[in-house]
Amino acid sequence: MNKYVIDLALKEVAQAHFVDQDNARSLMNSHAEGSLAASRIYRYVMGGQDDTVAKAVRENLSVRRIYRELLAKTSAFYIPEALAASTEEYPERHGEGCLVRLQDSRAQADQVYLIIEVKDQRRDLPKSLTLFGVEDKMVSLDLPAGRNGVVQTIIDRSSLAAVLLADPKTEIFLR
Amino acid sequence: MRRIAILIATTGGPVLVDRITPEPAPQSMVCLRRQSDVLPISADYDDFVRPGSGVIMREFGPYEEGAFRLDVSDVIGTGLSWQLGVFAAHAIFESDEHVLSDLETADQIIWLTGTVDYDLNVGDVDHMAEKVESSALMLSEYITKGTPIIFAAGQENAKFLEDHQPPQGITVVSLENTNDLLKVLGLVKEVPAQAPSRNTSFWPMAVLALLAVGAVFAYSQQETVSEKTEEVALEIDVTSDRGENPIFFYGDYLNLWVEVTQEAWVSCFYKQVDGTIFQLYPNDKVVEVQSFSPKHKHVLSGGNNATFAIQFGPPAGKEEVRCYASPNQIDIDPENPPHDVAVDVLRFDLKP
Repeated sequence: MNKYVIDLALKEVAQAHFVDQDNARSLMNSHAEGSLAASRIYRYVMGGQDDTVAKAVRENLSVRRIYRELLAKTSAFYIPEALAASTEEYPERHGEGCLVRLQDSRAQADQVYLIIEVKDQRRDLPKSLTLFGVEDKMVSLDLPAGRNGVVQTIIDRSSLAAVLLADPKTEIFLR
Repeated sequence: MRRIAILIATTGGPVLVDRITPEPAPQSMVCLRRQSDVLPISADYDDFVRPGSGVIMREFGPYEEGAFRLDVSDVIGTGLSWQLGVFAAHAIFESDEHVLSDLETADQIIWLTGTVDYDLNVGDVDHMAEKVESSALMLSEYITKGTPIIFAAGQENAKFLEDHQPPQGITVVSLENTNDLLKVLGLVKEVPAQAPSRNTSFWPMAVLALLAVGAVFAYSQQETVSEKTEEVALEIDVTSDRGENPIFFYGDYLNLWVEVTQEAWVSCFYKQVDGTIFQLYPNDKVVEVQSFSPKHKHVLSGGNNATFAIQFGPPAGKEEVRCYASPNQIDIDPENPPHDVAVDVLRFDLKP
C-alpha cells in the first residue's frame, strides 16, 4: 500500500479546488434546463458569441470559476493581484511582457484612457480584457485593434472596469 | 476672437468638429459627442497626427502631449475625406485669433471635404452630390441667419460645386494645397481672409440653397440614368447614411439606402438583439410597392421622399437589417429565405 503525505498548508486550497471541480462537473453533467457543456464555455472564452454563457458567467459563480480557469489557460497575458499597495488612484499593473494602466482624460474628467502596452511588438495584441476583483466581481471588455504594441480605448471613470482597475487586488487576463 | 465652425462633409450629413484637446496618451482618438465612444477612424486620425506618418504634429507642433482627442458631433464612417476638415480644425486650434465654434454662435461656417497628403496637397474625393444633399437642410438654416458659409474642397470637387451654381451666401473655394486653406481661414498674414459679404435677403437664399442642392442631386441622378445598361448578376447593397458599420443611439433615425444591380423586388427585415425579427419593407406605410430600378440609390427610410422613418429604441446591442432582392415579386420568410435571391446585411451597434 502506498503512503501519502498531505501538506497541511495546501489542504484548504486542494479542498476548495475540489469543490470548484465538483460544482463544474455537476453543472455540466446536469440534465436540467440551462446546463452548459464545457466546450460551449470554451468557445465563449475563445471569443465566440453566446448570450446564454455570458449570462451564466455573470450570474452563476460556479460557471464564472470555470470560465476563469479556462481563461487562465488560454490568455496571452496574465497579471496577478499586486503584492504591494499603491498610493495612486489607478496603479500601473505590470505583467510578464505587458503593462496595463489608466490615464486621466484632460478633455473629460469623467473618463479615463485604458492603455495596454505589449513589450514584444511581434506578439499578437490582445482583443479582450477580463478583470476578476474581490468578491468575485468580474467584467470583460472587447478591445479595439491595437497598433505599434499599444491598445488604447476610453472608459467611463464610474464603469466597473475602472473601479476594478483601481484595486491592486484585481486579476487581469488579456486574450 | 473669430469664431469658426468647421463642418466635415459626409454622405450622412455634416459633422461638426466640437473640440480638440491635447492628451497625455500614446494614441490620438476621435470621440463621439464627448462620450467614451471611440470612432473607428481613430487609427487613421492617429496616423494623420503622428510625426513621421502624418502632418498635424509636424505642421502645428511640437506639443508636450503625445496625442489629441478630437470630439465630433456625429459619426464619420470610412474613408479619408475628413482629413481636410480636421486639418482646418487643428489650424484654428493652434491660432491665437480664431477659435473653434458651434454653429449657433459662429461668425463663419466652413464646410470641407478632401484629403491632405504628406506634401500638404489637397485631394479630391467622391460622393460630392450626396454630401451636398445631406447638408442642405442644416445649411439653409444658417444661410437664413446670415452666417457666411464657405465650401472648401479640392480643385475638381470645387469645380463640380461651382458648376451647379451654389446660392448666395455660399462661397466655393478651390484648394490646391493647405496653404490655400490657411488663406481662406485668414491664417496667412499677407493674404486677406476671404469673407463673403452678408446678404440680408435670407429667405430667398434658403430657397436657392435647396434648389441648388436639388440641381446637384438631379445632376447625379441624370448621370446614373444615362449610363449604359449592361447584363449583370442580381446583387443588392444595403447601407446607411452612416456607412457600412454604423453606431446608432436611442432616438436616432435609420436612414436606409438600398441599391440593386438589376430591376428587382426588395424585402427587408429588422433583427433585434433579442432575436425578434419584423418586416421593415414593404410595410403598411408603403402605399404602392414597386420594383427597384437598378444603379439608383433608393432611400428606404428617413429620406425626404420616404414614406416611413425608423427611430431607434431599446433593447440595445448588435442589431441588423437584412434585405433580399428577387427578380420576381415573392413573399420571403426571413427564417427560411430562398436560396436564389440576392441578399445583403447591414449590421450596427445600437447604444442607449
